[in-house]
Parts: sequence; structure tokens; C-alpha cells
Amino acid sequence: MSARVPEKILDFSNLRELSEGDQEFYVDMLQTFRDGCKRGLVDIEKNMRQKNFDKMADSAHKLCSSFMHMQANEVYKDLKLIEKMGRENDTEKLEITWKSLKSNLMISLEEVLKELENTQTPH
Amino acid sequence: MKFRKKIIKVVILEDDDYYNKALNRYIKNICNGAVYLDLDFDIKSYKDPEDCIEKLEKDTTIMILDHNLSNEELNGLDVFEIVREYCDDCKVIVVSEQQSAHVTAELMRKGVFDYIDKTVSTKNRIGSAIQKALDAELNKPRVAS
Repeated sequence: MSARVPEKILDFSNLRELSEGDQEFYVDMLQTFRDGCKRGLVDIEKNMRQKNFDKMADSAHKLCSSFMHMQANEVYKDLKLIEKMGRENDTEKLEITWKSLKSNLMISLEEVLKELENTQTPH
Repeated sequence: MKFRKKIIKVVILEDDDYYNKALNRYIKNICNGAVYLDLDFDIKSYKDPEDCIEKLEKDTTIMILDHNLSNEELNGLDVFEIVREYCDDCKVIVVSEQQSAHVTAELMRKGVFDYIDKTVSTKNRIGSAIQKALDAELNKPRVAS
């Protein structure tokens, strides 16, 4: 876990490569990522507050692969930490890890919204 | 003698929307009839394991299976057991978050064709696993028309 927030969290190069210039696909993937990220934010927090730690771990796990694809290593590490804490019912550092993760997820959402904006209205 | 094109049926089961779409794209890029002139590809993708099993065809050639399905009834291993029982000769390639070595070994022991971690190099690994599966398929005797 790291409190330091990098300038840019998401790297869209893997997605750009996968899209091969297909803008429709690129936008669809960004929207899918955005929706998954929003859902993950809500689900992790809800399950954490309700002390459904196994479900909290599942929600964190579900976000891992897309953040890995976006090369968001700090977020990925925090997601894995939250997942591990949930599986092991180890909640000692849960709040602080969640705080860091939530902040990075919010920044990620802003970045993806900006990318969507730039892609849909090219200069 | 004229040979009929072999149909390669590929099934993707991944419950995460984003990764499902990414896998679908990877597989469509790899399994391309313009590259494999002797083959026709039929690619289907599912997010729900029950839906996938219901529509599974006996002659499915390759399945890309997410190990960590967030379904309370069926996990990836359950799906694998069903596929192994039902399909004649389906090569199951399991894709998942990094697992411990013993999970990977267990999957391979149970007869999984290949196991791939979801990392930044997943695309290349899937490419080579599918190539291996297609080679195995291409080395089977062809049906003459």
C-alpha cells in the first residue's frame, strides 16, 4: 500500500493496442471499465461496512484484471491487499488501505472520464 | 481431393465485463480464418456459467475459462469438470489472477490444457496456448468431402 499518488494512474496503451484504431470498441471498453470501477467502489465499501469480508474480497478481486490491463500497479496492489484482508478476515489495516484505494479509484474514474471526453470529441 | 474446412468452436467464459470483451477481441484477432486458411472459427462468449453450460456444444474445440467466477453455484473448476464430462475433446485454457503454484499444478493434473495468469503479457500467452491447441487440432485426420 502506498499513500503516494502517482500523476497518472491509468495507462491506456494496452487498450489502444487492442483496439487497433477501432474507436467504437475503444469507447465501449472505456465505458465498460468506468462502469466496473463505479460498481466496484460501491460494492467494496458496502461489503466492508456490512462486514461481509468474503464478498468484499470478491468485489476487489473482480476489479483486479481490468486494472492490471490498465497497468495501474498501485491500485492493483491495494486491490490485492483488500482481497487478502477479506479472505483472511484481517481487518486491522483495512480502513487505511481502503482510504488509499478509494482515492485512487476516484482518480481513475476521473482519468477514464477525461479519456472518454477526449476520444469522443477529438480536437 | 477437396478438403472440407474444419470448424473450430471456441467458447469464452469470463464473468468480468471488461476482461470478457478484451478476451473476445484477443481471440478474434488470433482465430482468424484469413490466417488459418484450413479453418473456420465459431467464437462464442459468455459471462454466466449456467448460460454457458446450457448452450455448450459437445464438439467445442477450445474453451477459455476464468478460474475465479463469482457465481455461488459454479466456480471455474466445476465448469471444467462438466466440460470434461460432456465434451468429446475440448481443450480448456484456464485464465485467472495469479495463483499459487499448487493451484496451477492441481489444474494441470486434472487435465486443463493450459493455465494463464492475467498479467500484462496475457495476450501473448493466450496466443501461444491457442496456437498449441490449434496445432493439436490440425494434426488430427481431416474429413474428406
